[in-house]
Amino acid sequence: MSLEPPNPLADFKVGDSWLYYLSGDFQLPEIWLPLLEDQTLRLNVADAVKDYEALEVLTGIPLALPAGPYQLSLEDKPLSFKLKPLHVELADRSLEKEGIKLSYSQDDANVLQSLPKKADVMELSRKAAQLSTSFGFDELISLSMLRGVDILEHQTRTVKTVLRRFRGRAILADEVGMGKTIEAGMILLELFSRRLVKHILVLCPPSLIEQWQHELSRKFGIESISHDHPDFKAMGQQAWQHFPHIIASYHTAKLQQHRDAVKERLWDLVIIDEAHHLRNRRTQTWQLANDLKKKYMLLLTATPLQNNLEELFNLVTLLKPGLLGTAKHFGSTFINPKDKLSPRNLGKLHELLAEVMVRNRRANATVRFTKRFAKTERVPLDVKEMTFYQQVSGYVRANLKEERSVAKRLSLLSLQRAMGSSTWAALASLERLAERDEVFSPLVALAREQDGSSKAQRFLELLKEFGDKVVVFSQFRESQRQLAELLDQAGIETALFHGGLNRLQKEAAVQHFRGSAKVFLSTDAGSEGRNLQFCHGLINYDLPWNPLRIEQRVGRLSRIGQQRDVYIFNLVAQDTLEDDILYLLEAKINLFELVMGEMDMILGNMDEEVELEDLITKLWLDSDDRPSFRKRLDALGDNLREAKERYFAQRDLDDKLFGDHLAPKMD
Amino acid sequence: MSPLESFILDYLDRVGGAWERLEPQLYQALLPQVVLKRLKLFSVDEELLLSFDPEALADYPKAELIVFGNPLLDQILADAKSYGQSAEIYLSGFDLHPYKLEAMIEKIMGVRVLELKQRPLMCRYAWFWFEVSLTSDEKEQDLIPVILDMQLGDKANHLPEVLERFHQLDEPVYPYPDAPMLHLTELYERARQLASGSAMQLARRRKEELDLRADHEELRIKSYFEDLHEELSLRQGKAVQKGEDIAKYEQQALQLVLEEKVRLQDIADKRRLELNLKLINVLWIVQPKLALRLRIQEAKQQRELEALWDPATRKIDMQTRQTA
Repeated sequence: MSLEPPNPLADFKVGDSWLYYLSGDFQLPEIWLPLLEDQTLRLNVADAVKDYEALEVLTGIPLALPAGPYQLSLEDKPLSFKLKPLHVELADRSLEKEGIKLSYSQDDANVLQSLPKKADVMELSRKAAQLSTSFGFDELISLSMLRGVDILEHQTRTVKTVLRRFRGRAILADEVGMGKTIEAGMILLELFSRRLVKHILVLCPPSLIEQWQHELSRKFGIESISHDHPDFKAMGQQAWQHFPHIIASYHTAKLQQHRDAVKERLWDLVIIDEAHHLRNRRTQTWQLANDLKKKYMLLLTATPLQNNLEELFNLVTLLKPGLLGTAKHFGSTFINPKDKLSPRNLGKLHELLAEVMVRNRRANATVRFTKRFAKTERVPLDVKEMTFYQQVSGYVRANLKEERSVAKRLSLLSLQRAMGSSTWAALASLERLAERDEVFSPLVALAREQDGSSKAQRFLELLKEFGDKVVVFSQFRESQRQLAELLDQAGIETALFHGGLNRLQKEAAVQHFRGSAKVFLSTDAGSEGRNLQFCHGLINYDLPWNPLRIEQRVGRLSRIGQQRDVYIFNLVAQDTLEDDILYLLEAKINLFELVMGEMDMILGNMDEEVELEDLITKLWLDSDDRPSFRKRLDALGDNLREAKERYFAQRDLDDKLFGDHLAPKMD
Repeated sequence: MSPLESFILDYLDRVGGAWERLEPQLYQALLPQVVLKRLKLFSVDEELLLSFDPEALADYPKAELIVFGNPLLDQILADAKSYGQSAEIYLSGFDLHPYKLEAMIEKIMGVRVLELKQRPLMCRYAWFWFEVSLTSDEKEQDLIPVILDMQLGDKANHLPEVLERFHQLDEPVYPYPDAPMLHLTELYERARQLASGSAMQLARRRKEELDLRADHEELRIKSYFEDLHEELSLRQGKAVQKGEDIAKYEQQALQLVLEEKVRLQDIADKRRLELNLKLINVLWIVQPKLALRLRIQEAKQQRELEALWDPATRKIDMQTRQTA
């Protein structure tokens, strides 16, 4: 070993240091020897070597002194140096022939020589070691970190199967309502907690981006950024390299300007939601997914199959190319030439799929969902109310058609929705509008003339008739406030819940309802994740136009843990726009009987590109009168029904093909 | 309270910090400058808000959400781990004047004791905890405890039970000299050897699984690409017969070769298994024992021997020297 020495006679400062690469046998530079002999120079180079030799003895491993780099630093004056290797690897080479690299920690010596503390002090260190140890996947360390999630047996079984058997590459093809997203989140969190993943990409349809972001944050404590966030946009292409957890629509990711950047990065985990969009391997989306550099990958879909068994091949090939052979081989082995949806060699196909796919079904899970009964209360408005409704609604429709400003359009739509809720909500909305535009003043005056509410009256009667605890949803704070007042006057104890409460107030509201309150009066915001299953009555005081939101409301009660049948009451003013929308959702597709998540599948099966609520608005605006609107709604309803039938057909096909063969096995 | 929450509060207490619970799962903490420095919290001026509930962040945007993966938690865990890596305890409450010791020894050894000299000595045990990390495409860790008697280096698995029965003190209570011990290096080597043994068993099992899986995958990929090449050359053959340009087929064949190479490299990477053994903690345990010098009659022979009487187990736990 030789050094290229600094001149020790030069004027060093404490803290000076040099980097050295060592080779050959150790020799002190001659120029230093006289200084060493007369002890002017205390050079810890020798000590470093001794340390190293001691380490060798201590570890019992034949160590090769690494070539470097070493740090030689002046420790103290006069001329006391310390040489220490910057990287030391204590590796036992004897096991390399077995393909196992065994290494020891160089810090062991420090632990042995550390000053003993009191036992309770060490206990803290022991606890820290326990907490930061990732045991095998038999024990899921992430379970205690989940929030507001009812973890089900089939979900933990799925997570373990995917992590242990599938090595983190899987198709999660659970039936709708079995919690695929939760399973994917649990897998993500498990890998994340063990520091096996850092860079995460979630690809999903645009409508699900917000939901993914919210769920990752709320339930799994993982913050992410979406591709449409201003910070992301501002960075341009570099954003794909910069942010560790990204949620994007596959439509965006596959665009020319993003594709290369997305493909460039090595992703530790890629999650693709609604992966049936990747069923065709000739599409850019499939190609993108195939080209991504990824360690782990999860494909989420409830309907992996639609038109052709080859679609299944395409999904599997993304994860494990060759598992089902080539496309040609797959076709000749597993597809009936006369019917592309009829499999051949089904047993063998199941066997192969069981290496990559999980499908839990409600029928074989331990979860039991109770029944739901929905009843619509079509409340006739009195003349005064109806006049007010028609005037406001007429104004909205007439002006919406012409209005080009997005903000004004939104205000008008919000006013119409408020009308569907209550006069109080409409009045608040009108007052805000009138502040900016006097044209609304007469409508404000008309609203103020209203006394009493037929809907509110029926609401109070309904509460008495039902007799048990009830969750009441309204979209509008003003409706909520007035209802709370009415309930107070009627002597009915009420817990108020809305997005303006902080978390403690929210928790207190839920506790109040769990205790003495009869009514839980809630807006849509924030009740997610709260356990309300102890109640089995729900009143929709008004109805969102977006059926997915209605589904979410129902899902608050009709979920795992609910012991009783759930009763849903929909309050709607007769002969209004809301009455017609409810007719569409209830009579045409039986929204209230659908399993949580099925509405999404039905909407996904529609040919329409726009959201259902926008479609309804458009039909309403395009119609000259109510009969014409009803006619158009009927046509939309027929489309929805067909989409529902298509979805059911897919579901039945998947059931027939997969049955229970892909349910994860018990431990 | 979750284990993580209770750990953090414990940590704050131990490092001389102060904390106040503002709301459930939300704490305000004050830490000494030296600890802040250790935690690399250079920008924290006064207080630190720690939340264990993501919902609290809406009301307290400055709060740190303490969940796994949070860099501050990583720092805290690392700091706590290094804070008390070793500890020493002294056991007390032993009977160092056992009634009829001679008779007991005779019964245990099946010999006649002619002469017995005894003196108390402080003996030691070392309880090591090794962290084992197995890293392939998954990471698995375990903690392996090894307890050794420091006089002979023997395993002392009875010790946890002894710890439960006797008082544990921070300071020595018996004024006796230390018994001779093994060199620390030798002791550590022995402990690590035992821990490696257990770790290697696990590693070999995992390696076998990895190889099996990789063999299977490799076979599958090779056969897949062989089939793809075959299909391609069939298509190419047909194109030749039709007199079509075959350049695109050649290009595709080249792409297949490259893709296969990448896939096979992936599989080769998956075969790698790294096993790391790291000493996390050592607990030194000091307990008095009686050093015995015996002259015994065994059959027709008289022998002298040295032994230790363990008052915790009421057994002779080693024989240090025998003379005919």
